[in-house]
Amino acid sequence: MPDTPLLEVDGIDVAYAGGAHALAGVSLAVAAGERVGIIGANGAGKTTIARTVTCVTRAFRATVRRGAIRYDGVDCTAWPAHRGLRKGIVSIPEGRGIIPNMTVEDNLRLVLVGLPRNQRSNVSEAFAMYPVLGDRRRSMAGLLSGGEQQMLAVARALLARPRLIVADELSLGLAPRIVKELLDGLSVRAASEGTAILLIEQAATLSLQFVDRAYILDQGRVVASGSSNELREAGDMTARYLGVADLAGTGELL
Amino acid sequence: MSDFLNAVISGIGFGSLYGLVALGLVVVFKSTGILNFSAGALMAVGGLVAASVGHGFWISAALAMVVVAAIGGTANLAVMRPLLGRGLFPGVMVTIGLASILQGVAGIKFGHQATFLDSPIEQASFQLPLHTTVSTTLLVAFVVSVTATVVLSVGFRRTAVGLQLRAAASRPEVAAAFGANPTWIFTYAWAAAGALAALAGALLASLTVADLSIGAFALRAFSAMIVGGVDSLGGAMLGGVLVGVIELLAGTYLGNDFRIPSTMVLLMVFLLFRPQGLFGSAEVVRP
Amino acid sequence: MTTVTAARVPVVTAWQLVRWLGLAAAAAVAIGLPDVLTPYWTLIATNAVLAFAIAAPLNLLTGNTGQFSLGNAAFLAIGAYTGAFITLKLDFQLPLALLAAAAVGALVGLLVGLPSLRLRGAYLLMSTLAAHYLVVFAAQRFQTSQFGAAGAIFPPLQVGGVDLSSDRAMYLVILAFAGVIGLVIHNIMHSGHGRALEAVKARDVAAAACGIRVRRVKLVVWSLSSAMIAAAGVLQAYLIGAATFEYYTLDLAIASIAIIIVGGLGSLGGSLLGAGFVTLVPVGINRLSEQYGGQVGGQEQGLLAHPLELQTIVYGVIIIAFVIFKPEGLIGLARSAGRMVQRAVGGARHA
Repeated sequence: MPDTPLLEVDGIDVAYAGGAHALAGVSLAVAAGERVGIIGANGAGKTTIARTVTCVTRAFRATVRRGAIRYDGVDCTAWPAHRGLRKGIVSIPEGRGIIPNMTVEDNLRLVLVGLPRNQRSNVSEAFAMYPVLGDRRRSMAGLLSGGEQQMLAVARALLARPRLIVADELSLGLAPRIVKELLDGLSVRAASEGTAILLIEQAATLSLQFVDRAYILDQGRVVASGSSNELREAGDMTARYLGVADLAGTGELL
Repeated sequence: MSDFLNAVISGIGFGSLYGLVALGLVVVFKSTGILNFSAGALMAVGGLVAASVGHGFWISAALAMVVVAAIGGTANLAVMRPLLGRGLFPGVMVTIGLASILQGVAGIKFGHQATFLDSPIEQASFQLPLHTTVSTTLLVAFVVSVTATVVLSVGFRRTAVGLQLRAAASRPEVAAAFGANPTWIFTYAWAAAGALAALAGALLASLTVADLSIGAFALRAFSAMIVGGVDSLGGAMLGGVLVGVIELLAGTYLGNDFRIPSTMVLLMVFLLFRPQGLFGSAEVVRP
Repeated sequence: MTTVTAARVPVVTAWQLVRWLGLAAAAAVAIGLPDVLTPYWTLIATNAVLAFAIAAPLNLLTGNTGQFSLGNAAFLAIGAYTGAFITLKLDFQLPLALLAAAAVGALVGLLVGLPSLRLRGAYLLMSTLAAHYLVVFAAQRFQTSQFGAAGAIFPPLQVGGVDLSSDRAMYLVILAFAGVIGLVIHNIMHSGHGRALEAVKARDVAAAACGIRVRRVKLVVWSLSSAMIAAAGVLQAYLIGAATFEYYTLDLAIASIAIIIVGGLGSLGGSLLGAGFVTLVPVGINRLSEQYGGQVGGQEQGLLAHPLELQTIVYGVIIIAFVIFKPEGLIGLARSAGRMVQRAVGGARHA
């Protein structure tokens, strides 16, 4: 029985205000509860996809010039960001996107106040998930370490009880061990809630370990897709696009 | 000695008025990064509206606050929104244009006859020890300002709108991604700025006279904002008081002509040596 | 073996020819204006040309170099009082007054520009706000001590025994001055310096990385533009007939900013168009008022009965409209039109 995918991106072209085209004819789909990756080198258009799917293109002066995005079968291309949030699309932005001169607790509350009352959970849930955050609940978020900030961004996304989490370059600037911990934690909680995850990354090996399926993005186009195994086996083809030396599961971040 | 104390007391009183306006400036600057050069015009309109209502101070002031809050909110919806992300220069110039329009409309609507507003408390002033007097209106100004500061601080910290405003001030795209609707939160910010300016205008009108010239007092509020720290509400209030005291002391000991220049010297000193002000955060002075 | 060296043949496109002819024609028209206009309109033209001479240096500072400044009125005051001192107290003539005003203006401009080395954005703006009030205060003290409360009264302009106080003469003097200012600014803008200004405006950190001496550029532009504005202030005082400190308000400074916004930031032609436009608006409104805004049966007729307030409102609307809808200013519109003409003329090369 063909399910309507949770998220369906249908041949979109996205361009920024200066005319720079970021995405051309991109199509992808994420089913409910699925874990999907988007892998690409710098400048491939990863962050643009993240912004488009989470409906924040306008804030960055980008527009979807062609194609459509559908969420649960409903066209959401023109949704404002807060609508996406209410419908269960949450982002873990590139660079973590935490507010540095607000406290950890306030950063968490930010997502809660953006939700309707009946969808709100409680910050204490975040502290239960990540006790470290609880210890530092009154610290200014800008003073946290990189790993802690990323933890905060993840916790914030989870608090929204989302149906789809879009994580943009989660691993950037973090030690592999920390990234693995974060992803494992995310994985567990997402699985228990049935949350789908769209993991957008440069680090190919890492992503393929975490997701079931992935798309390879190069210069704004999807150039390959398949299950993680398929992509790992087609190592040299994907390597050409990513300039990575070795995809075959050495466990190293490249 | 009593000269000194009188100057200080009046300075605190006037300073509270500057603080009120500065609170509005801080709210707008914190959230949108724009200096609101229409603060003076909003003050003057507040005073004029209050004076035209004429049902005693408190009701008139309350109505003026509502009217000018509506003006502020409408101004944001109409002209400030297209400017989001375009930077300081267009934003400031639009607020200047707004001030011009407000002055013109107020001139037509209210004419140029000076009108008066009752003071908040019947007794105009009362005596304090050491031969000092304090104007009751200024006393009310002080109490009102402190109250406003507390209310706004709590509002910023506890309410959803306050949280979103603070987030938007620092990382607007993140705030938007997490549910803040920039149109509405900035509208609230502008409405709050309008209400605060109107209240200051009403108080000033009852102290002196209700006409367009009282807008000139907003100038000190800019000083207060920098001195206090552009992203600090408490700073706006304290900055206002400091500016007021310095101004009145300069007036007493150097002469009336020195009042405005003294506040400008204070402004310049802070800009050169401590641009984040007394209580502002250092992050604010990013180039 | 002979080498053939191609002679350097000057290539003049048809478009360049059109431009030079156009400029020459405009100059001729400008000089001849007082002979065809009534004194009333000559005065308006004089005001417009003076407004250009004041706005163009500001445009160099704000439009080209990105220094948002509220200091215009202060520099006009400096020029006016320096000029008054030189001519009224020291009994020298206009040329020396202009030079002295420029010198003092340059010095004060340097001082006012110093904070720009450390401050940016709103903070820089506030520093120019403070500078405005402090300079005007100093001017006030100077006026009171040297000239009394009525201000410095300027006698009719005369240089070397030649009376220049007629409408026509004043117009031509100011036109000549504006021409010089325009030339200086044009040369700056179209030289390597012009590119340095743009770099500083865009991102001075990056500009420094390209070897541009950012501090020097900023201070030079502040000094130079202030010197020019101060010199203009002398002529302005002669035109008005007096220098009183109450005249030099923040609104006066804002008027020049409005001109460069309407005309087009960073453009000399924009300063000219903006000056013309902004000068004509109050004239237009007054005319409309006289025609349609009169009292009918004792009842005042609507907005047009309040020309002064209407001017203020229209002024605000114009600023907002141009900032939001036409940020490239009138010169932007003119350029689009010019491009269409250029295509029509063909741009063919004549060897």
